[in-house]
Amino acid sequence: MSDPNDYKKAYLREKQARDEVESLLEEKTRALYLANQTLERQLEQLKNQQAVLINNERMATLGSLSAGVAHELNNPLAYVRGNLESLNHYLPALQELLNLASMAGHTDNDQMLSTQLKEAYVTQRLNDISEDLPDLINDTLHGCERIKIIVSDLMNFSRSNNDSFSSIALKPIVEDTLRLLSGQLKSYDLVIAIEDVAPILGKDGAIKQAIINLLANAKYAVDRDHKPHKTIEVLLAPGNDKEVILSISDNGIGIDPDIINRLFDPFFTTKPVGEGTGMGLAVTHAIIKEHRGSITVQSEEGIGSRFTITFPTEHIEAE
Amino acid sequence: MRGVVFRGLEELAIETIGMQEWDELLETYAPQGRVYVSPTAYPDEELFALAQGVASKLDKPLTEVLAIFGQSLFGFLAKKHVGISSKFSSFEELVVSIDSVIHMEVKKLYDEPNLPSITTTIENDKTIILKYKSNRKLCFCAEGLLHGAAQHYNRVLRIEHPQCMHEGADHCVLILHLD
Ligand code: HEM
Ligand SMILES: Nc1ncnc2c1ncn2[C@@H]1O[C@H](COP(=O)(O)OP(=O)(O)OP(=O)(O)O)[C@@H](O)[C@H]1O
Ligand SMILES: [Mg+2]
Repeated sequence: MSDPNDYKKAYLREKQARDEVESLLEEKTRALYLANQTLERQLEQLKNQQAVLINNERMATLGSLSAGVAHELNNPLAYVRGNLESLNHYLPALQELLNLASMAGHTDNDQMLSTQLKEAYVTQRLNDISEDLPDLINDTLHGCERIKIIVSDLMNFSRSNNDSFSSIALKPIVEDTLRLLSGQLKSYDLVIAIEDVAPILGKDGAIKQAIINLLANAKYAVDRDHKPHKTIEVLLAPGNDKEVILSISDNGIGIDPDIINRLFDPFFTTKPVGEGTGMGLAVTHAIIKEHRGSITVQSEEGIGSRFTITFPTEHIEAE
Repeated sequence: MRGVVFRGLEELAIETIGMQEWDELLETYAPQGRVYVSPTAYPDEELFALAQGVASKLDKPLTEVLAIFGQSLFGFLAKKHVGISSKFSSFEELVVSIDSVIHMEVKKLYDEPNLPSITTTIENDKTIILKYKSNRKLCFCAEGLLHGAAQHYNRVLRIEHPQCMHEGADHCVLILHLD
């Protein structure tokens, strides 16, 4: 191959080979690029849909919570009202007493005033009233305080709609949530062991939502069963030094092993039509994943179920 | 700079100075055993050195060679990417689409390409003002590419270059006069 033309021919052949390979590669690259774009768009769409679903579920929870809470409010409201009625009932006696008192020093006949006071003391049962008053007022204040807490818990929950990640302590969050549901959980045997745990990076409202969903399921499961003691257990404890563990268990009907893998699927429910959307656990799962945590379930039919959530601590998240 | 540009220069060099001379330039300015393939990025300096080498072998100033190179590069790119260049039915249409369509397509083919930013305004049916900005300051090459594009559409093009990055401006202004 000493003729320069031979070199050129070889070069041109090699060049054509490069061209062909490159155009093949470009075709694939372009297709990949477009496929990737489509995937990214779909991912974005899914994320949006999930956000909408979570929000819908939150509104539904808020709705059913409000119903429970309305019931809760009735109780303190009833005795606040009863106490105010008693006070109203005592009012004429107290007014008479005040009247007599205002005459002291303005009359010549102290003897008569004193007799009238004694009489009033007996006929108006001022002794009973005096014994009753502190309790009446304290109970009323206590009832108002109770109402105030219930309302503010509910407001906290609905307000934390768009809350963002921050360093949070789980203990008060679990306690708040239990208090929010205290009315609905009154007739159950609650076993509660909540320890102080390391802070996590999380969304206050979302975690409350997850706990509410799990408690609602536990309640439903024990109601469907007929054990004499309907037990629901809530535990919060440090795991190893990198995680905290929150578990919610019940001694309800338990879960059929055939369906246990589908529990967290959106719209999976065993409730009769119209009773549940089957979004409770799907949303709970999404929330826990958003927190880079995990949720697992152990269950035995007829014995009960345990849902265990593991959150990474803030310290680990930051690394 | 992507291999595709080197391959354009290679094609031009082999046509003008011949294989032997091109090989010599590669020996001098490219690392041992270098083979240029389109989607790979190579150091800009390598392209500048090779273009400078072609210029001195042709005994022409670098700016002129870059212009010639740009002109032939257009044909080379258009031939290699028929799909892209056939999208436009006129020179004007192509020029106003360099940034938004042509180089956009380039982004689909190559991972993070080094592209200039080019904006255009149509002054009237004979004049387009084009602003060119790039760290590589390849405005002479851009001029050549534009001449190549004009040739492709059988148009006569004259370019004024009243403001240039090589003279410290923030961007180049090219005024394109069409017949
Ligand atoms: C008149 C039309 C065009 C002009 C004025 C133009 C301008 C330029 C310039 C000046 C550069 C060098 C990089 C820089 O300055 O920063 C460049 C790079 C490039 N252009 Fe264009 N271009 C045109 C048309 C095209 C066409 C038709 C294609 C191919 C379909 C194309 C593909 C590319 C590629 C692949 C690069 C290299 C990117 C890299 O190295 O990463 N251009 N263009
Ligand atoms: N603690 C539990 N014990 C037994 N079964 C459970 C328990 N928690 C969930 N399940 C089962 O998982 C299914 C899905 O629960 P999920 O909370 O997602 O929806 P749901 O409770 O059916 O409906 P919703 O929460 O929308 O009212 C339930 O229908 C039930 O069969
Ligand atoms: Mg549920």
